[in-house]
Order: sequence, then structure tokens, then C-alpha cells
Amino acid sequence: MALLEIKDLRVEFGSMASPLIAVDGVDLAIDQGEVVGIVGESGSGKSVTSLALMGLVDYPGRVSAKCMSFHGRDLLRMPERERCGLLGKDIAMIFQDPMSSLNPCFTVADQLIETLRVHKGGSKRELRGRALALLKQVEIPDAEHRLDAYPHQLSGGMSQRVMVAMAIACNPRLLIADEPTTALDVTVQAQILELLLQLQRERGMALMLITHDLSVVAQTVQRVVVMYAGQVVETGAVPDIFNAPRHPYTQALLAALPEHNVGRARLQTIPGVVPGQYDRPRGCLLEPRCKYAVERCRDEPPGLASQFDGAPTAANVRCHFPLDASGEPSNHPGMRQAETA
Amino acid sequence: MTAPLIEARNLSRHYAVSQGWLKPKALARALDGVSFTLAPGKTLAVVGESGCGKSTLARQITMLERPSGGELWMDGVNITETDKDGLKRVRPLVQMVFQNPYASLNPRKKVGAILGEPLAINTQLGKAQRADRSRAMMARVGLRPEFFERYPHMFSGGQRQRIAIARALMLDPKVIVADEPLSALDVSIQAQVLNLLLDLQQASGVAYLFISHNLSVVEHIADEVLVMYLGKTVEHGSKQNIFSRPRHPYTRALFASTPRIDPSQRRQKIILRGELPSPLAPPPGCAFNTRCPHAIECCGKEAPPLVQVDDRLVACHRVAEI
Repeated sequence: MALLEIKDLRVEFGSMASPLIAVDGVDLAIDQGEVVGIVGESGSGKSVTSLALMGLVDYPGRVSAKCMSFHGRDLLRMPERERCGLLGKDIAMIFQDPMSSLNPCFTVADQLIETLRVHKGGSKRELRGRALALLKQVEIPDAEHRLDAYPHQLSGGMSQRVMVAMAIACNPRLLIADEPTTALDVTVQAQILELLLQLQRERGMALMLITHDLSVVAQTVQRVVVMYAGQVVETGAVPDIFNAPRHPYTQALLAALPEHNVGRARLQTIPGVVPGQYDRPRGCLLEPRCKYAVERCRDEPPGLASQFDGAPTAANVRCHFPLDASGEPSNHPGMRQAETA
Repeated sequence: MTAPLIEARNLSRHYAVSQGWLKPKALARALDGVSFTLAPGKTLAVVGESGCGKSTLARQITMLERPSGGELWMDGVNITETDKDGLKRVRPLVQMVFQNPYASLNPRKKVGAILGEPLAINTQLGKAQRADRSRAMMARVGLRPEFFERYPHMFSGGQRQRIAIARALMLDPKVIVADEPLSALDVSIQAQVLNLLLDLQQASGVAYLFISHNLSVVEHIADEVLVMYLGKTVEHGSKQNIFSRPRHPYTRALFASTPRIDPSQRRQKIILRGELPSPLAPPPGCAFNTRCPHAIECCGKEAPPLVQVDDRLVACHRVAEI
């Protein structure tokens, strides 16, 4: 059984009549000890998915799902108290900007101890000892002194380490890291990613890494979920997705990277922008930007179909004409015409 | 070879930082003896971590601040010595594109007014002529003419960055200083803006001083690369040379830390310990010695000079051995 199982998650904001659909029927399953990456551009719904999971979508937003179960218990239907006991303990989260996610008015020790006290309890001295051990575990130099430091006295990388320490304080089984390294320099980014992976291996926890950086995902995770405009467009194992993307969006995104255009004068681009609240296409959401789009794509939204039926590592793709290994769409009417002509 | 547009010789910028009441002021050497030249139509990329002095360099080149040491020659004028009028003449030659297009456009001005403003300040053109030029520039950067009457909040990030680029080009500058112009944009939009920058360079022969921490973008756009660490140049050479074989340990660590999609392109992991030291109290000797995997005793005592090694400049005592 999967550790986390989300089925048909929807998150909407704004009025009932013309809602802004931030997350549109997302299915997601994460196994014990698995490292999963969620990639997408801004506005693709990757952060809102994790916020909905943590119960952090506030009133004007509406969250609904067929099922959102963690370890067999449905998060949406359990009493508020029970859920509070679970969040921050079994499911923990690290946010993007470490500087603004720490409370500037309290010391590192105060904030670490608060988490420990709420979920575990213990005497003051005991808690402080555990906080110190945590700081050492995330490799903060001079940890004894850092305990009494305020967030403004820490650098970005150091603050993110404190955030990691807070997140792992109660031995979570699932750690959600939402753009944990976006605000950091590359050398520090490498340190933090290494730390997260090391903690993940040691504790056997599942790690959900949300990022817009494809190369971070390629280098860090085992399985990747590609999102676009609130939908999952493709999922699969890392080498497969990066070597032979099945969805035109994934293909175009990879082709747009400077890394894949070495020696070429111009980069390949994806025309247009992610659809907004008022120009959401009727059919496939990528249709206005897709170079393979035909009539059918405009009218009929594609489902998330499995490429290789039944296989456990099957790549899933949301496209009427998924790409084959050579990068060309299969059964595509336009392509077939071109061949016969 | 054409004469350089910009020549920096030993350019320095030190800031006095208050340490508290009655305490002596500390000196932050944000930029410490950097030299380079920039030829017309070329791109010099400046890379390094935050705090290494990249943006301070940009502030000197755009003449927002006066350097505290060294010389800066701009189109034949030594701007460290020239007076107000001299500065006024060279300032339009250098324009800037900022990192965050959500913050760098005035939300209360329409696109037309934003683009017309540089002309209103620096030229004698009338209103109608300014509007004509603005419209022509909008076409050049790929903005539709009906956007003329719109406000910045009506645009997406990529479009805003196009407006910012158009604004920088209004005075036909010879140099554009682009401070992380792509880092606030999504991958698909990044590619569009990067293409635009390359097209504009080809059409108008403008030179770029391109500040970035994204090495794959730098690899695509740069002719020359300048790697900085704590206000100093650690490696400087052509893009081909530096990307094919980085010599300085810091450059190597930067390359190794940059995640890559293609496993064959990933370099052996070098995880640097710690973070950039404070520029207020730089370590003695080589500034990098506290984090360098190859540091030996003499690195902590004596600062290595920037010397020619084969096809580039490197500042490292042990460059021959490693």
C-alpha cells in the first residue's frame, strides 16, 4: 500500500461561477521511502497540491478529493484534532524561502523546541538537548551557539538547515520540500540537496521534492511527476522521462533548456504562456502551445493514460497522441497525412 | 581588434560599514581589483555566488556609484576622473536590465510612458516622435502595438522582461548590463527571452555584461567568462576554455554543484563546505582557502596573484598541480 494516496484532488479559488482552478484532478501516490519529484512552471499547481495536502489552503480556496489518505487514513475526513497531530509530525514540510519562513522574533532553539513540545513533550532541558542534536544532524557548525541565534543572524543556507531540522524533528514519514533550494546559491543548493537525500536514506522517509528546476529533479529523484496548468501531464521513472518524454510538453520543456542546445544559436521555445483563469482551453490544456495539436485536441480533453498497461513502473501520459521513443507522436492524423502525401 | 567599449583596470569599490556607536567603521571590500575589457557586440558573463560582488560591479559599470579605486574607461572616457558633464555624455551608453521584472517597472505608468521616459530625459524629441520610437521598439522586442496603453500589471513575467529590455534599448546603448535577467522567469519563458537577447545583439551590435549564476545560460550566451569570489577575480578567460576545462578549484566546484540533466555531463561531485565568508572579515591569504579542497599552508598566508596560465587568467597557488 502506498504511504500517500491522493485521488482526483481539486483546488479552486474565487467565485463558484467562474473559479480559478489551481489543481485539476491530480492523482498522486508515494510509497514508503520513495523520492518523488514534482516539476512544473509557475502556475502549474505544484505548490497548491502540497499546501492542500498539509491543510494550508485557507477559506476562499476549496479543496476536494475522492481520497487523500496517508497510511490508510483519510486526511480530509478525519477530525481536525487528529489531523493536527499528524501534520508536522508524520508529514512535515520545508518551504521555499527560509528567510521568511522562520519567525524573526524567536531564537532557533525556541522554534525547534516548539515543534518538539507540541508533538512529543518532555522537560525543558531534554527538549533543548534534542534541539541541539537536531542542529548537529543537519550539520550546522558551532551548533551550541546557533541555538540562541535569531534568524537574522543566519545566512540563507543556514536558515534552510534550521528549517530542515524543524521538519525532521519528529521523524516524519513523508517530507515535502517545496522549492527548498530556489533561494540559494548553487554550491549551497548542492549541500542542502545532499543533506536531504542523506536524511531520507538514513530514516527511510519518503521525500516529495517540488521544484521548477528540471536538472535538480533529474539528479535527485527516482520518479517524477510533470504538472501543467493544474494537471498531471506525465509521470514516470527519471531516466525514462528525461531520455524519451512521452508528452509534448515535457519534450518542449526539455528542448528549451540551454543545456540541450549547446552549439545552437537559438534556443527552442514554447510559444505563448500558461493559460489563466479566463482563457482555459476546453480540450487539452496545452493545445494552444502544442506543435502537434489538431482538431481533436481542441475539443476533447485527454485522460491520463498508461503507456504500458499494468506494468508497475508504467509511464502515464495525458495526451491523445503520446510521443514514441523517437520523439514523434503516435497515431497522429497530421503525421500520417504527411507520410501518405 | 576593435577598441574596447569598457575597460576596467584594478577596479575597486569599498564600503565603510558602521559597526555600532563609537566603534570604528569596518571596510567591506565588495569589489577588489577587478580588471576586464568588453568589446562591442561581445558578451562578458560574470558568475559567482551571492555576495561575491557581481552586483557591485554592475553598479560601477552603470555609473550609479563612483569606484573607490582603479580606473574605469568607458568609450574613451575615464569616468573615475571625469566631471558631471562627462558622465552625462557617457551614461546613455550603458543601460541596465534588472532581475525582477515585477519590481523594476513603475506600476503607475503605461508601457508607452515607460519606454518614452529615457527619450524625454536624454533627447530633444517631441512627444509624437517619442511615441513613434517607442512603438518601433515594441515591435523589435516582440510586443504587440496595442500594449502601448497598458499598465505593467497586465503583463506576464516574460512580457514584462521584454518591456524592461525595450526600455534599456531606447537610447541605442552600446552596453547593456543585465543583472540576472532570467532568474525570475520560467524555463519556457527563459528560452524566449534568451533568444530575444541574442537576436538584439546580432541586429544592433550591443555588448552585454551578463550577470548570472546559471551556468547553462552563461554557456549559451557568453563569449568570455569572469568568475568572481569575494570581490576578486579568480578565473577569467574565453567561454570555450573555461567550460571545457575549469582550472580554479572554485570554478570547478561551481561546475560540479550545477545540476545537470544528462548524467554523462555531470561532473564529479565536489561539495564545498560552509558558505561565503563575510566580506568584512575576509580570510587571510587566498579568500577561498577556508572552503578549498586543495588548500595548503601557504594558501592561508599569501593571496595568490591573478596570472596567465595557458589560455586564461587564474588566481591560485596550486593551479599547476591540480
